[in-house]
Amino acid sequence: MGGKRATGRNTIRAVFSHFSQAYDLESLVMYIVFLMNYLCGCRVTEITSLVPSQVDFYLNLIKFRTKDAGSRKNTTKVIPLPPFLRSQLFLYTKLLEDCGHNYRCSSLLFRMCDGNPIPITTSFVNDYYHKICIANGIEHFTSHCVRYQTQTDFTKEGLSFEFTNCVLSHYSYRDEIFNPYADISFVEFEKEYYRIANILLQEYLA
Amino acid sequence: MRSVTTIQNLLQPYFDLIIGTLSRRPSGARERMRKFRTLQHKLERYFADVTSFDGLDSLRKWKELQLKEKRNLSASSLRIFVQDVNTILGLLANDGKIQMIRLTPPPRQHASSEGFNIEQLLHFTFADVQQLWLSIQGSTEQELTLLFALIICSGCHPSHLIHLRVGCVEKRTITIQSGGLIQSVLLEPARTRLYKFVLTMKLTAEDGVFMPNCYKRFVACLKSQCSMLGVPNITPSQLMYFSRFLMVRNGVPAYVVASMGKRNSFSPLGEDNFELIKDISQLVIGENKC
Repeated sequence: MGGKRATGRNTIRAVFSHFSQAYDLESLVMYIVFLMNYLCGCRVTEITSLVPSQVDFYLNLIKFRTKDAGSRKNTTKVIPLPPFLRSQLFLYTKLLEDCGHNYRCSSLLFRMCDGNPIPITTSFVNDYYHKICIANGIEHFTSHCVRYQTQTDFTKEGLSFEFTNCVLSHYSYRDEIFNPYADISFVEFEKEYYRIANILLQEYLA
Repeated sequence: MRSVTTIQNLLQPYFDLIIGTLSRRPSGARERMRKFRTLQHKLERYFADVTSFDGLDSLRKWKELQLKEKRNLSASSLRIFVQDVNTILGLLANDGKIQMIRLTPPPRQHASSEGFNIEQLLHFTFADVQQLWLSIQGSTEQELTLLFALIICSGCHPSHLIHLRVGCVEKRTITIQSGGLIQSVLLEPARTRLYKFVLTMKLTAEDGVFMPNCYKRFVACLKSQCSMLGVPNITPSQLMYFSRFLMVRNGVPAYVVASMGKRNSFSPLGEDNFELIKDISQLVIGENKC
């Protein structure tokens, strides 16, 4: 096999059903990471480098930032928050507040607080996905395969090429919305994005 | 090889050539000309003991200059500095005075979202700006409150806004003469505030709206308010980028917003785009609360 490829819809469905039966804090954190990975088409580094101020509940958007990794230049992307993901994130921040944790003061939004806080890394997420694969008897996949599935699903549901690139923040197309040389409206992008995210979530959460 | 006494005589013709070319540009290119003059002074100081072109023909010395400037300049300024040095080196090499030497400019720090600098907006949210506005509105001078409102409602940089004259305020736009023509929109709550301020202060059409030291006071005020409220530190530039971010977020194309508040570049907002952003300022500085 070897090469990276899209996970397939059955795998995504199995992951959603796995998380629907888990109720601990670790599962909630990983569920949100998975939702961002799938719905926002994020790399794990983009998710794990999130700080609380990058999630704007009032404007309903997330500002992602990826630090330099090798030769890759810094990237930013702004993705609208789908209502379901918003509710999960809101629940997570409320839970942190209830636990007496001042999440706004911590440097990172997602940490595993089992005794000493452990920052979540790409290998941590991939290991977690591997455990899900073993528990549910599905084929092994990585966080990047989920990005491929995002591209596949969003394109299949009719999201246009420039909007898909806004979601995935591909190197040559990143930040098209905030690029003065392109004519892309955030409102149109948001409308299309919500429509397709709702279709996909209805399918997986049914 | 021609023997010349000072480094100034060696480099002067090349800088004259560049500045002469720049001055023929329609916009004047004053900022680029200033940068080249600064570069000339720096090179004259650094190569003070050089008396011939042989002294300039050393990659090591130029790299040491880059390293020296790295301590003083920000990453983006260093990038421009190295590019300008490369221009001079290219001219010298074309004349056969030195070997072809090229320095490597540092990579762009903020390669993406040019003109919007989303990178600078990551540490605060909409709620923080709104909290800051409520605090500034309640506690400080009317002039600073008006400046805050104008930044949000026009997307102009405050260092330009302080040059605003009463006679240059129109129904939906403002025009500022500050090293070039700067134009931007003027959204509603700030417009009314501006008119009230002008009437209260009894200003005439030729008067400037703000005092000359207003910008410094505004920076200090923002800093103190942020620390008092416990919100992340927000600078006036970040406030401007936030205002532009809101405009794009509400659906105005980036190329339209990018030209607002920029020297000698303004594409008037169409009626549709104006409708999209007219409520933005109400969100931040209106009566709404999170």
